[in-house]
Order: sequence, then structure tokens, then C-alpha cells
Amino acid sequence: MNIKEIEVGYKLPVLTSKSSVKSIQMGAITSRDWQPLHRDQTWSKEVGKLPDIIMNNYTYSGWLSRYITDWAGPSSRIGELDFKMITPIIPNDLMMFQGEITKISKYNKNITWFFIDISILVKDKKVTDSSAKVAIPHDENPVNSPWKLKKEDWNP
Amino acid sequence: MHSLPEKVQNWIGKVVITEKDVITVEKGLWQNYCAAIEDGNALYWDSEIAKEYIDGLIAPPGMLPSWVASNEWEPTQKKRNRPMELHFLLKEALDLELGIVAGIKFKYYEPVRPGDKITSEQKLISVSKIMETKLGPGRKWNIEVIYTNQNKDLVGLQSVRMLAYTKDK
Repeated sequence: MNIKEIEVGYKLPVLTSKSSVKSIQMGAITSRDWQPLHRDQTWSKEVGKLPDIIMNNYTYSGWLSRYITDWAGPSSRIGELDFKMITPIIPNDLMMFQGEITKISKYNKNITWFFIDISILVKDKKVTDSSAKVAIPHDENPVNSPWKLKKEDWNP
Repeated sequence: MHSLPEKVQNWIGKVVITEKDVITVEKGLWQNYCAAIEDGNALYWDSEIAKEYIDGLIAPPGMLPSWVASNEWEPTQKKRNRPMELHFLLKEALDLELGIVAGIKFKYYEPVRPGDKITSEQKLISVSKIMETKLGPGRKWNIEVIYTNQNKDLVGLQSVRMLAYTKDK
């Protein structure tokens, strides 16, 4: 990927993944979220009046971050991540991640800010609306990595 | 806003809950999380590659709030706050038993590294008037969480938009 050739309107590669009881429970437990609606199917249905256990918000932010860095690589640095959960993600949902570049601005001579709108769709219905701002170096030379910026020079 | 209890009015604009010295950041904990979301970013897994781009392994940003979540059990049996304790305090103070996260925004600053100890401060930004929602009468509120590391460096800011409601009133 030549980052300098990317323009507003560029679409990120689609990512699909099927959720499961195990993956939703793993996301909740490993993000240290012990609430029953993320791990206990009986509680979720009978007490929570939910269709099943639901993905917790820390797992959402993990999936969204992963979607960005799968595309942009480890040298990219996420500055901002905003998301709204419209419909909960439950086991056996086939999640489809779609992203589009909406704005591009210069960070410095070696790094560019990319603004991305991301949607998660399940059965063609948007279940999560998200936007992100990510700093991407112009090449893979680690010297230009945004992670090398002094903390006073990193302003997300 | 006039119908807000005085206690809640006094919280607005202030840090109400501080979480400190909860756990120490460890790569084994974050790699389990990465396994759950199948995230193979080398900065979380490969210390040689991570040293090229930064000074070593870092934790995935999505786990930031997890570093102030208490263990489910501890031998000292000290009192544990609930995740986003301020949200629960608001629900109790305003007699709204149900709540959902409407949206979350993160800004990421210094990366989280192994051995870090993260502190969070939960500040109440705003509380709406009572309103009719699709779920029942309720209120919206906005909580900002400020995350810092043991060096007092800003690690992240989280803005949480919540909706709390009741089905009985």
C-alpha cells in the first residue's frame, strides 16, 4: 500500500468474522468485564431480557482498532476512536467491517492523519457506527513511526 | 436541571471516583484479549518488531479501561468499585434502574507498557433533564474518564455517553 496514493473515498478492505458464545465471553473476561450480560446466557435472557449474551464495549473497541491496524500496519497510531452501538452483537452474528477515508490532513512531513468512518454490519444492517483518526507514516522506515514522536509532539 | 438532587448537582464538573493501584499491566493479560479478537498487531506480540517502531511491547488501546478494573476476587476482600462506578452512583441517586451505553469516544496519548500502573478519574460532565426515550422515561449523562500512568503522563481520555431509564414511572 502506498499511503501517498490514498484519497478521500478510499474504501478499506472488508473484514468479516462470525461471533460465537466463546468469542463474546473471551472478549468480556479478558477485558476484565465481569458483568453477566456478557458471559451468562441464562441471565441475559431471563433477567436482562436480551436475545443472548452481548458483546461488551471494550471488545468493540478492540475489534475496531484491529480493523484499522490490520489495514494500516503496526507503524500506524490511533489517536481517536468514537463508536456508537446501535444494536447489540450476539453469538452467531456474522460481523462485516467496512471503512472509508473521509478526510486526510498533514501531521508532519513524514506522517499523515487519516479520518475513517467505520461501520459494522450484521445481515446488511448497520449495528455499530464508528469514526477514527489514525496517524500513518509515509513509509515503513521505523524512524518515521508516529510512535517515536515525543509526547509533547503527539496531539490526537 | 432544577430537579436534580443536590448531591448530583454538586458532582457536575468534578472528579467523583478515582481508581488507583488496581492492577499492574502485563503482556499475558493483554495477549489473552488479543486472542479473543484475533489481533496479531506485532506491537502487542513481537518485542523485536516493537523495538523498531517504539521502545518495546505495548498494550492494545482497546484495553485501556481494563487496567483499572479490579480482580473479581482478592484475598484482602477490599471493597471493589463496579466498572464505571460513577454511572452506577448516578443511577442510584436518580432512581433509574436500567442503563445502556449510547456511545464512547477515546483519545489515546502515551501508550500503555508492561509494568505500568494506571489511574483513572471519573468526572461528571453533564446530566440531562428527565426525558421520554424509546425505552421509558430517563436521562442522558456524559462522564469523562482521565487515564494517567505512574509517571502522571496522560494516557487517554474517554467520553462515555450513557442513557439511563426506568420502565416503572
